[in-house]
Amino acid sequence: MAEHKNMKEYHGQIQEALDDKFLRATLDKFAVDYKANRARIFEGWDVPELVNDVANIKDNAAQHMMELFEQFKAEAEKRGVHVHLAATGEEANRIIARIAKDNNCKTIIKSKSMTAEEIHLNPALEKEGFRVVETDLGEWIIQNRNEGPSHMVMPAIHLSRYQVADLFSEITKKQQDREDIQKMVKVARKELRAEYVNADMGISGANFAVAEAGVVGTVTNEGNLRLVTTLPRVHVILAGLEKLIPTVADALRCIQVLPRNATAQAITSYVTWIAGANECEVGPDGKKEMHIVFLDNGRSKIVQDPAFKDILRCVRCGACANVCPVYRLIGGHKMGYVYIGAVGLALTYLYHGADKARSLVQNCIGCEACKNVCSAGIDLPRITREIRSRLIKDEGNNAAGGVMSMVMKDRSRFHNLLKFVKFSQAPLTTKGGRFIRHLPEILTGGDQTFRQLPALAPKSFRQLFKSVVKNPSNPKFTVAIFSGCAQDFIYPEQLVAGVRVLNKLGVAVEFPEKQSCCGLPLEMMGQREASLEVSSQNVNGIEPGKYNAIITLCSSCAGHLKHAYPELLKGTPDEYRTKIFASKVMNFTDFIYKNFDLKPEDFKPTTDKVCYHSPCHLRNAGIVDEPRELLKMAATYTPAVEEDTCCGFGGTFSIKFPELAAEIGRKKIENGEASGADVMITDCPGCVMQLRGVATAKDSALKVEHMAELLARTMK
Amino acid sequence: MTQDQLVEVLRKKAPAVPASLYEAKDFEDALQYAVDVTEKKRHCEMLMPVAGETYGPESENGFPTLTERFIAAPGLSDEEFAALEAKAAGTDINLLRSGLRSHLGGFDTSITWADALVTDSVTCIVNSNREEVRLGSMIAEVSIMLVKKSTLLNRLEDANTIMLDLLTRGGASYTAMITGPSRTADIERVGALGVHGPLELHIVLLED
Repeated sequence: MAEHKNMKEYHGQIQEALDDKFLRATLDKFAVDYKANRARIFEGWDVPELVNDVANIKDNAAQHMMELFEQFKAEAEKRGVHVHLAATGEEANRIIARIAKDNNCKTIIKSKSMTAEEIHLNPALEKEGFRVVETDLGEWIIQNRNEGPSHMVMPAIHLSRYQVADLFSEITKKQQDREDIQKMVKVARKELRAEYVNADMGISGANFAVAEAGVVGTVTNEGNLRLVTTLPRVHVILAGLEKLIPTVADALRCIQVLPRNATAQAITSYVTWIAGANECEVGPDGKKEMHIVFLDNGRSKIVQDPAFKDILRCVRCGACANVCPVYRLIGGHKMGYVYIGAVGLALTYLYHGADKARSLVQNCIGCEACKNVCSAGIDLPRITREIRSRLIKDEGNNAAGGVMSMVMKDRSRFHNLLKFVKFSQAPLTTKGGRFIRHLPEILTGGDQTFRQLPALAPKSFRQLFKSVVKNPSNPKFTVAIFSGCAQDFIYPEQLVAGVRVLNKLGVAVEFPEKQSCCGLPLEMMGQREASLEVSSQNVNGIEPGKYNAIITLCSSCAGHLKHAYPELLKGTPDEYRTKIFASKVMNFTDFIYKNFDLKPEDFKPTTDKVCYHSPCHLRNAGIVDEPRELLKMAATYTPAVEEDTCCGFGGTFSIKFPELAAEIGRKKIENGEASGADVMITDCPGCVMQLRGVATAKDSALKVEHMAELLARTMK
Repeated sequence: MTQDQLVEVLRKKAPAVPASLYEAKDFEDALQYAVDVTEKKRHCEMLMPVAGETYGPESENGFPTLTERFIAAPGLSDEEFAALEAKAAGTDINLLRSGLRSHLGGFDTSITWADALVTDSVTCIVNSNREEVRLGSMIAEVSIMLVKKSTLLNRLEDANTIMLDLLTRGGASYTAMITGPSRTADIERVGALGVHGPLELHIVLLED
């Protein structure tokens, strides 16, 4: 549970996590295992179809939230259940404490509920004098350590067997075996049995509250829920309003995804469906005293907000943490408040407020791994960007954001500033003027010594273009180049190589000069106003109808132009034009691979060994095999491990969180070195900046190049 | 899918769950299987030992064990239970049909009828409206599920009809989908069985 007053304190907490060797090793292994296990369990399934179904089911449910509540209430009341609706967490806590008091309960046992964590139910009940015992093994462990969960599904993943054994020795007052996990689990089995038997009240959560039958469905592995809901005479279910769902069939469909995505299981050991006050020998009249408390806590307001409503689709599988490169480094205690992972950043803001979320929402690279793995297809990075922009709207701009916004809105001002920097950077450069010397932290916003940052190129691509382009007289295609800032001003040689390759293949290339920054860096900083302005400038600065394609060599620009623009410019005068513009945007490598049927004989023989770094925004667009097919023809491709993970750049992310960017970048370079490759090829100048910067700083022999440079060198 | 194909899927998928699959010749054979399994296992651990009581040798986990053996079968009909009594006669097994709240420290085995089984995920669907049925299938160290071949289903979505039926028959409903024993991976992601409930799950397949 990350609580911090400011960024400085947050950085301190991050460093603590980075120094935790056990945590690092555990999460590294988990990240790799999860991907492989998930792929195996979804074999033979149409995953996009499943995800789409879950999204539709949950969207429909959210739209009819209060109708479903009324339907559920009527059905449940018919079967002797008391149904409550709490507007806030405090109210839910009060209701549950009152139920406990009215029924003369003293000891309460719980099965796992993130919603209970959300409202801090345990401390609220303990304050009222009740004894509360968690029964999920992980939850029981962290309760006894006075900690919050560090993962939504595996709450104690941050702890070693030795820490657990020592805790159990303390609880049982008997030295426990410090190696044997099987025996530790049996300690919990024994210690908790009497707790179930002696408890007066059981509290459980809900995965689904099915309106058509007034039934609550819960997905568990341990079976503790069955004892929690069977043995005590009083049973309270706590459910967020977003758990309401119309039908059992809907719930069964969602269950096809939830356990597969959460723990790579086809189904959990138990799925328990409870409708009504069931038989209970020790209850009044032989039945349970049963209550269901629905929690609003902002949910009914979120459903009205188009920018945030998708968050209510979340089925709490935790997958967004499992694939997150930041979670992998620092774990859930530092990447969430109560809710964890990418969805945790958003839910912290929405359920626990801006104070708790201000620093946390900055800690997203924007790699979009979470979006691609989400059970319900939630565009979590978009929501994170939206929160950043709302924070600025509500609280005013910071100095850096304000300057950036002002400069970027005006293309000529931006370009003049770059010219000024270019002429004045000479004393600061090193290694033949290609890199900037390490600068004081005050100028770079943090310790950037993990990588050697590039200097601005002597001539920008826009200055070079006319002298480089050699358009064929009868072109097969005519394309516009969208340069993006990094290649225009830092790495023009990548674009020059790209133009040469395109010309060689019979493509006419134009460079529309009115184009500006794509706007993604502004979005990442929450600068929505300036971002909309540059988006509009680009859409109007390139005439999409003139070109077969708008080609970019920057995967991040491509992703933003193609996928974010239509959403951002929706409802503006540019909406229609943007759709056509976006449909023409294509990544360079994808364009080359799909249009030219290249063969190995089209390339010169070479002994170059290459590995690949797959840029997040290219991979997210589904372009995965195409670059590798080109590599196999153009050189000797020796794949590195984890080519498909983020490089750690994330634009301003690597400035704000250099300690994280450094760790991710180093790992990538080490993987590249271990592959035996001479060169790591990639498709994004941002990735080149990060990876070449890290490789140079650590004096690695591994070179980093853009795909266009390799193709220009090797194509006959 | 034909019934034979569904059985084939079950045979293939049960071991990974893990669930032991026994294809019984008839009901008598199913009960004999339950008796045999109970006789072969070590005596049940006593999870709530009472001071002054006599217990058997310590289990592998260092807990006291019961000196007697128990099978709980609260969901069997009078006739079925009588057949079980006949099978258990001459063994040291005690049979429980009710009053399981007096045995919450543990018993060896439970026998429970499943209403259906989804073969794709090896998931038993069990009407657990009766508290004794719930306790039987959770407190026993070995949970034996009796499944009729005619109730085999292919995929989870095919369970919609039976689920709706079980959940909306009127009155309260407690319906369990059970796939293997009680499990956890909460310590270092190492899989462990029997964290709260059964250590083993056995599926006994019966002709109708």
